[in-house]
Amino acid sequence: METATHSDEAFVEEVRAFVRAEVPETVREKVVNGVSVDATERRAWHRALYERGWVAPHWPVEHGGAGWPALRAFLFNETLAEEGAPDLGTFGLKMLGPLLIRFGSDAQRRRYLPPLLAGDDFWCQGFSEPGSGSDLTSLKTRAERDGGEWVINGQKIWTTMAHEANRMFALVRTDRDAPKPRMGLSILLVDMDTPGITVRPVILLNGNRHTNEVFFDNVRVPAGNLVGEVNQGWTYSRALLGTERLSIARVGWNKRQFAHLKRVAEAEGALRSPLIAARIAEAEIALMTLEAMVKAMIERARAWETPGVEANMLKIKGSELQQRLAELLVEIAGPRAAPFQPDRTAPGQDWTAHSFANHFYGRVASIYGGSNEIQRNIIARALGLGHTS
Amino acid sequence: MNGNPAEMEDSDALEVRALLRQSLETALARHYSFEQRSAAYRSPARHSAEAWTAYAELGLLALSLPEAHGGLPGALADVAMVSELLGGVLALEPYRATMVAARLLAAAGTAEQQAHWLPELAAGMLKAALVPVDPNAPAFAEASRTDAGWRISGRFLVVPGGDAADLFIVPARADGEIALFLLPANAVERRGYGCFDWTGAADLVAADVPVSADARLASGAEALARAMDEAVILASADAVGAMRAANALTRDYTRTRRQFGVPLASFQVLQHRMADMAIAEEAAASITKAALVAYAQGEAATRARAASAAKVAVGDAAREVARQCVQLHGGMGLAEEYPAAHYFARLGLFERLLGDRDAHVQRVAALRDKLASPAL
Repeated sequence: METATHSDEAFVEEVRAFVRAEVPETVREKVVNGVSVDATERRAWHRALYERGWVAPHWPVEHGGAGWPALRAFLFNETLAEEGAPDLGTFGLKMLGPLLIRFGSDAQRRRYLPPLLAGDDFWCQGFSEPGSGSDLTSLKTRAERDGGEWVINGQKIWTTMAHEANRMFALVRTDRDAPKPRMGLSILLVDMDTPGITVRPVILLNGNRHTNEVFFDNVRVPAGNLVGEVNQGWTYSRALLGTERLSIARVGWNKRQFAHLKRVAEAEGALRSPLIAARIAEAEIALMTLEAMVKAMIERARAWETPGVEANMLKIKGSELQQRLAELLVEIAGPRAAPFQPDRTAPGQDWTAHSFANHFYGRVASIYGGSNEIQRNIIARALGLGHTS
Repeated sequence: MNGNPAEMEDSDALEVRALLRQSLETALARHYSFEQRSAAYRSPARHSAEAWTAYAELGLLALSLPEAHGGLPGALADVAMVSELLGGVLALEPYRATMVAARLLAAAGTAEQQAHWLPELAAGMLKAALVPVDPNAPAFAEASRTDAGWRISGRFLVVPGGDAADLFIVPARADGEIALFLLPANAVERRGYGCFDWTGAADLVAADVPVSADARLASGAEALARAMDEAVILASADAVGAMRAANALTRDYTRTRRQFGVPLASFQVLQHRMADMAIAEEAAASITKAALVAYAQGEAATRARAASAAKVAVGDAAREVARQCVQLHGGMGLAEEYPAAHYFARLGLFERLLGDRDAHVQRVAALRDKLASPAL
C-alpha cells in the first residue's frame, strides 16, 4: 500500500491535491453553497476515485477497497469534505458495501460490489416509515416468503435519492410474532425497477426533491436477496452504524463551511461589526472544541479503549455547529436572505441566494441519523440514568 | 403626557376590536385553510384575491384611516390584531405593507395626496408599500430638483409587498434632508418575487424618475421613523400570531404522533421543550402589547425604544419556536405540503427584515439616554 509509509500530514496533502486536481472549481463551489451536484458531476468524481483506488478506503483489499485502517480512512474522508468534494452517497459505499462484506453471501458480493465500486450502481436505504422514525423497530413494511421469493408490501418515507437509485437495501418485517419487534426484521436487496414499486417525491420547502416516499405493492424479490440470516436485520444495521463513528462529527464539513463563512464575512465587510466578529470567533471556538473532541476519541481508539458514547456526543455537537454556521450566513445576508430562489443553479446568483435554503435544510442535521433527542437518550442510558423509553 | 387621541383606547374601542376579531376569524376559517393558501400561492398574484376582497369587505384596510377619506375608527392596535390573525394563517396578502403606507400617507401626506389616494386604499382597490429603511444599512434614494419638481434615483432590495404594490412611498435625500415621495409602481423598474416564506416582495430601481412637486409628502424624517416603528410593531404582531399557531400545531402533532408505543407528548423532555415554546409565545405577545401601549403614548423616543425592544425579544422567541417546531415534527417539519416548515420560514424571515437583532439592541442602548423619563 503506497501511502502506508507517508506521514499523516503528507497523506492529507496528497489527498487535498487530488481533490483540487480532479473536482472542478464550479463543482466545489456548488458543494460549499449546498447546491445539488448533478449525476454527471458525481459520476466523474466517482470515476476519478475509482481509478485512483480510493473509492472505498475502508473496505478490505480483497473486496476492492484500499484496506486502510479506520484512522487513515477518517483522515481521508474529512479531507474530501474539507475540500468540497461531492458526496458519493452514504448508502452504497459506506453502508451497503460493509454490510455485504460482513454479512452478505459470496454471490451477493460478486454481484453487487463491483458495480458499486465502479459507480454503475447507486443505492438508497429503505428504513424510515410514516409511523416509524425514531422508533424504527416498529416498522410495518412486511416481506412474506412465497416459494423462491419474498413478497414486499408497505411504505417507506424519507428515502433519500430513491428517485435516482437503481437499488435499495430495505429493512422489512419478516416475523410479526417475534418476541420483540426488533427481532422480526430482515434486510432485503431490491432492484428499484421491480414491478410494484412506486416512488413519489417529498418536496421540501427549500424546493429540494431528493427525498421520497416509496410504496411496495406485492414487490417480488428472489430469496437470494436476503442479507445474512432472516430476522437478523436489526443486528446488522446496528453493526453498520458503528463503522462511521469517527466521521459523525463532520469536522471536515464544518471546517469547510467555517472557511466559507469567514470568506463571505470578509468580502462583505461584516467583520467591521464587533458583534458579528465575536459570533464568528465563537463559532471558531466551537469548531476547535469539536476537533479536540474528535482527537480525544481517536486517542482512546488508538489505546484500544472500548468506545463509549463519544460518537453520540459528537453527533450532537457536530450538527449544532453545522446549524450555527448556516445561521451566521443568513445573519450576514440580512434581507437578501429572503427571496426564494427555486432554481439555485441559475447564473448570476451569489451566496445569499443559498443562505436561507441551507439554513432551513440544516435543520435535518439534528433530526436524521438518530435525532439529537435519541442521541441524548443513549448518552443518558450510558451514564446510568435508566431507560427513558 | 397627553398622548395621541386617535390611539387612545376606551371600552367601546376594545369591544369593537373583539367583534372585528370574531368576524375575521370566521372569514379566515372560510378562506384560508392551508390548502387554500397553497393554491393562492400558485396563482399568478402569489396571494388570494378572494381573501383580499374579504379583508376589504370587513373594513380591515380602512382601519384607523381618516373617516373623511373612507376610513374607519381604529388605532394601530386594531391593525396589529389583524396582523396577528393573518400571521397565524400564514397569510400571503400584503396587508401590513399596505397599512403602513396608508397610515403614513394619512399622517404625512398633503390634503390633496390624501384625498387622491386614501379612498381607494381604504377600499382595498389599491395596494401600497413603503420602501423600508434597513437600520443595519440605511439607504435612501436621491431626489434632485428640476423645474417641474424632482428626479428620483435609487435601488432598493427586498421591499415587502413590493411585487403587488400600485404605489410606493420612497424615502429620499432632498436638499440635505430626508423626504418622502409618492411613486406610482409603473414609474419604477420592478422585479417581483416570492420570498422563502411565500410572501411577496420586489427589488426596485428608480432611474431618474421625474415627479411633480406635489409628489412630496408634507413631512419627512419624523414621519418615516414613526412608520418604520409601526412596521416593526406590526411585524411583531404577525410573528406572535405565527408562534401561537406553530405552538398549537406542534402540540397537536406530538399528542397524536406515537413512537415507542406512546404519544411523543408524553416524553418529559418534549413537554419541557413545548413549555419553553409557550413561554416564548407569551413573552413575545406581552412585549408586542407593551410596544403598542408605548406607541399610543406618542412620545418618539419611548415609542422607538419599545419597538426595538419588541423586535429583539420577539425575534428571540421566534427563533426558538421556529427551530423547535421543525425539530419536534422530525422530517415532516421540512415538507412543503405541511405547515411546520412554513412557520419556520415566516418566523425565520422576521429577524432578517426591518433590522436585525444587533441593530435593534444598539438602538435600545442608544435611546436610553434620550428618554425624557426613563421607564427603568
